[in-house]
This record gives sequence, structure tokens and C-alpha cells, in this order.
Amino acid sequence: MSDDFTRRLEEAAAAHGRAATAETELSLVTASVIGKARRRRRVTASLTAVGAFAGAVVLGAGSLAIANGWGTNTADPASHFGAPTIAMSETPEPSPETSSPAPSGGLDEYPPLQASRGDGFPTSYEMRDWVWDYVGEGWSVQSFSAAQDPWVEKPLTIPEAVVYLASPEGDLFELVVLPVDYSAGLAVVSWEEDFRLARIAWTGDPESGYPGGSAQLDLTTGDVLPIVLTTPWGISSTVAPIAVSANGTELWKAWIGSHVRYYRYSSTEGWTVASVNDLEGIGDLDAPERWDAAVGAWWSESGTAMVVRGDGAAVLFEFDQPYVEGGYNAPTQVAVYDLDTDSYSVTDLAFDVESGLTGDCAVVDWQGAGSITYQCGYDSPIETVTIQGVSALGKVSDATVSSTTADLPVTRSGYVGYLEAPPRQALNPYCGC
Amino acid sequence: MAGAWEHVATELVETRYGALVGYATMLTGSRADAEDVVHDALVAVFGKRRNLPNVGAAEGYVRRAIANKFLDKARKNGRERLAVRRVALESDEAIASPEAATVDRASIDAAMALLTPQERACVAVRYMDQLSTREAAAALGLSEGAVKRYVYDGIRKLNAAMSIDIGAVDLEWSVVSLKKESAS
Repeated sequence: MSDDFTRRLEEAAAAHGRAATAETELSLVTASVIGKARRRRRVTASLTAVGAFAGAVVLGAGSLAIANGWGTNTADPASHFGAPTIAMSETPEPSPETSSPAPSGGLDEYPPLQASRGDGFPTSYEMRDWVWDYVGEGWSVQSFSAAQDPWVEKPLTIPEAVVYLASPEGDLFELVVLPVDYSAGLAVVSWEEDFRLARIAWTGDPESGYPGGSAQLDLTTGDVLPIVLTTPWGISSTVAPIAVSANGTELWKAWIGSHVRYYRYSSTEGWTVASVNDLEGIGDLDAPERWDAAVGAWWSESGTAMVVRGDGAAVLFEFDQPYVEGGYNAPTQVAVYDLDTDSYSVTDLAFDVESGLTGDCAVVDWQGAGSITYQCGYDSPIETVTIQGVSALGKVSDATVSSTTADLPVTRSGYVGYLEAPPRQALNPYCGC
Repeated sequence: MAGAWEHVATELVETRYGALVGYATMLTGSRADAEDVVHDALVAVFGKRRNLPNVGAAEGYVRRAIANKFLDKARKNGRERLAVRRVALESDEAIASPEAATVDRASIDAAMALLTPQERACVAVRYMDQLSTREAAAALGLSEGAVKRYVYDGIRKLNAAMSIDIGAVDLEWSVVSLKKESAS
């Protein structure tokens, strides 16, 4: 019967195809395809040439870094591989003595140096399985990638992102070179040494046909497994990381249609439904009154980043009422969700602001001593609200969606230390909030 | 002077454009969307410096790119995905043809429209392209377990919608990246 089904599929497809052929001016299709393909090839060739040239520059910069103690710090491309000088770029063939960074000595032996990946990428060693035996305190997994500025009219070619294992001494070992589909604005969300797996997210470059997303990455084979979750409303269309605690517990948000669902991941329990989904209306984007993850005040330095505690282990949610035009809009309750215990506590809020105030009340700071600072109206008095029973607080992330310039510089785009939470700003571009 | 790849591209469009759009239409449910996906896939394939010795090889790349681009768009957000399905359900308007097999084709179109994008893509590459599970997984960027699951679920829906019994090529499936919520 499957042969018959295949035949019916092919017949239906052929009928659609005949109609398309009859109604399409094929010469126009050909001209359009070839024109755009030529342009892409030119851009790629140009970038390749620049990359090859810059490779020598990077080697030169690496040798310069040796003299300055390269290997004693964690890799920072901005400082080690800054703008090359003309003198350096004119060096056609650096001598072997000056092209290899000296090993830091953290390992008993070192694999061969990895071929340069181009401008902005750090010097690294080839990965060997025995390097994993050294991994422990102080090690990290880092990503280097570029991101397309959505406001730049002329699209540029996104280079393939690279994920490295980094020793405490700053030696980098190349783990995976990702396909360009997953490379734009790539960041490592978390990694598990035992399984040699990482979860990654990328902002994507929809204009070039590369949507953002998240996936599980096999750090040994490079296999990319998109993260897809089955929600009560169907299979998720988008999944994005929200927060990660130092204990390795993660909070993720899944979208499907007009619904969202929060999921928790831990290496011991795997994927589970987060208790925060019990908050009224949180899953229904169309509900007039509903709980939602809090975002920072757009007029503050925090921007519209998710409000996550400094240690990454708690996320703030707010109960929002329908928008009041001409008045001020403020949450009536907040909930602090604890990733590690999968529990949340709700606190009622009462804003006492000047009459006639218009605008929104939004978080501008999450400080120590259990206080979260709200500001109502961007040029209005500041209202401070204290949330009890929350310790080890930090500031609201000051990160906004990363911006890049038109030449798509490669930068270190992700860093997750051994048994550490990633920097909060590493997750914010992916939350879609 | 035109490069060899341009000759291959020209020949591919002239001889196989209809087949590619037909294939894409089975995924998108809409010819307009299908033509967009085919165009994007053609540009993506020929925009890279790869060896495409003949039309056959090029078509293989383009068909994989069609499925991938369709899935990428579907993953992008739920609204887009729902819109695709809505268009698919309006196939009577979107697809007007004097073909004798209109009824049969319409039933196939309508049944395919009931599938999720992932299910449609997996069913298409398994049944139309005759790829193995491993090949399909590699082509679509999914795990083998996910491909088996999508094929299984897709075939189950098609069987119910068309009152037929398609022998699924992959009845076994395992959840790898998918987490099913308990009913509670």
C-alpha cells in the first residue's frame, strides 16, 4: 500500500508541477536564480580571500600575544586579536617560531595547532579525546560567532561559528565548526562534561534564510539535534533559553501558536514541565489578564531583557492586567521562580504613585537585600518594591540584543564555565520576549 | 562567460522546475509558498561553490534544500506555521487544475494539510524521495528517532483522513529530543 501512496503523492505533485510550469516564465526564474547565486558566490569568495589573508595576521597577532603572556588569561579575542597593523599584515609567511603560541603548560602534552579559522577566531589546538581527562574546575566551553545587524541593508555572509573547549590557562581546543545555519549569533547555553553535550542557541539571520533556534550539540561528533518539545497544544515551533543556574538547572520557553510553555531541564531529571506553568493564564498569549515573564524597562539600561537574578537561578514573573490607556500600567503581583527547587513564591504589589501618572511600571534593578526596583514612567518618581525571602540577588541584566557592525566581526559570543551559570546576557537575545 | 554551474542551473530550471514546485507544494500546501521555497532553495544551492556535475546531482541538493527551508520557516514561529496550514486547507482556491485526478489529488492535498510541517517533510522525503531514515534525518537536521516518530504520526493521520492503510516504512519510533507531557 505504501507504493500506492507514493504513486498518489507523486501524481499529485506532478499535477501541481505541470500547472506551475504552464503558468511560469522559466527564463525569469533562471535569471533571478543565477543573478542571486552569482552575488552570493562573489560575497563568499571575497570573504574567503579576506579570511585567508587575515589568517596570517592572526598568526602574527598570536606571536605578539606570546610576548605579552598569551595563555595566562582566558581567551579574549578583543585583546588578543585586535586590529592588525600594516606591518603585521605585510608579513607573507610567518616563521614557524613566531606562528605558534607557546602552550601554557597546563597540560602534559598538546595536540597540533588547528588551522586558522580566520579573522576574529582565536588560535586553538586540535581536539583530542584525552584532553577531556583534564576537564574540571576552571574549564569552559566557548563559542565564537558573528551576527548580522538586521538594519544593514546589504546582507553579508555569516561565517561558520566555532565552539571551543578552554582550559583555565586559556588554551583553546576546537570542538565543533557549526554549519552556517546555526552560526549567526551563536551562544553556548550550558554543557555537560559527562555526556559531552551542550545546548546552544543562535539568533539567526532570517533575512538570509537562517532562522534562530536552539539545539543540543554533541561536542564529540558535532551532531546538532534541534530542541523540540511536545506541548499540550502541539509540537513547539520555537524554543529559547531563559535562565541557567550554577547547578545546571535550566529554564526554557516553548512557543506554539498563541501559547507558551515553560520547561525545566536538569541532567538528573531531564526535561520536565516547570511548576511556573501553574500561574494563571501564563500559557495563553491571548488572555487579557495573565502571568508573564517580567522584562526590564525599555527606557532603562537593562532594556527589555528578561529579569533574571544574578546567579541565574531565579526568574521574575508578573501578573499583568489589561492595558489602561491614559493611566499607568503596573503588575499587581510578582512571582519569583526558583529553578533549582522548581518552586515559586507570589507577592502582592501595591504601587503608590502620583495621580495622573501615565506609562508603565517596569523593573529597572534587582538588587541585594531582597529588593526589586520598579520605575513607573520613564521620567517619573521611582517606586521601590521589596520582595521577601529572596537572597543572593543581583542586578537586572544590563544586556540588550547584541549589535554588530556591517563587517560582521567574529567575537566570543558565548562562555559557560565548568559548573557555572552562563552570563545572563548570553541568553537574552534568544528569549523572544 | 557563464560558468558550468550556470548551465546546470539553467537546465535544471528548464527541465525540472515543475517537478520541484510540485514536490514543494506537497510540503507547503500552497503553490505560491512552494515557488518561494523552490526559488530560495535554488539560490542557496547554486550560491555555494560546490561541485554540481549534472542536473541529477543538482536536483538532489535542491530537493534537500527545499525540505530544509520549509522546515526552517515552519520552526520560525507558530504564526507562520498556522498560516501555512490555513493556506493548505484552502487548497481548492490555491490549486485550480483541469486534471482528471482532481478528486484524488485534492484528497491527498487535504490529508497532507492535516500534518504538521515536520510530519509533512518527513513523509515527503521518505515516500517521495525514498530516503532511508538515516538519510532523511541528515537531510532535515533531525534525529533518526524524530524522523521515525514524525513518519509514524504522519502516516497515522493520513490513514485516518484518507481511509486507507499505508504501510508505514517506519513503524518503530523512539523519542530522542521530544518530550511528551504526561496527561496529568
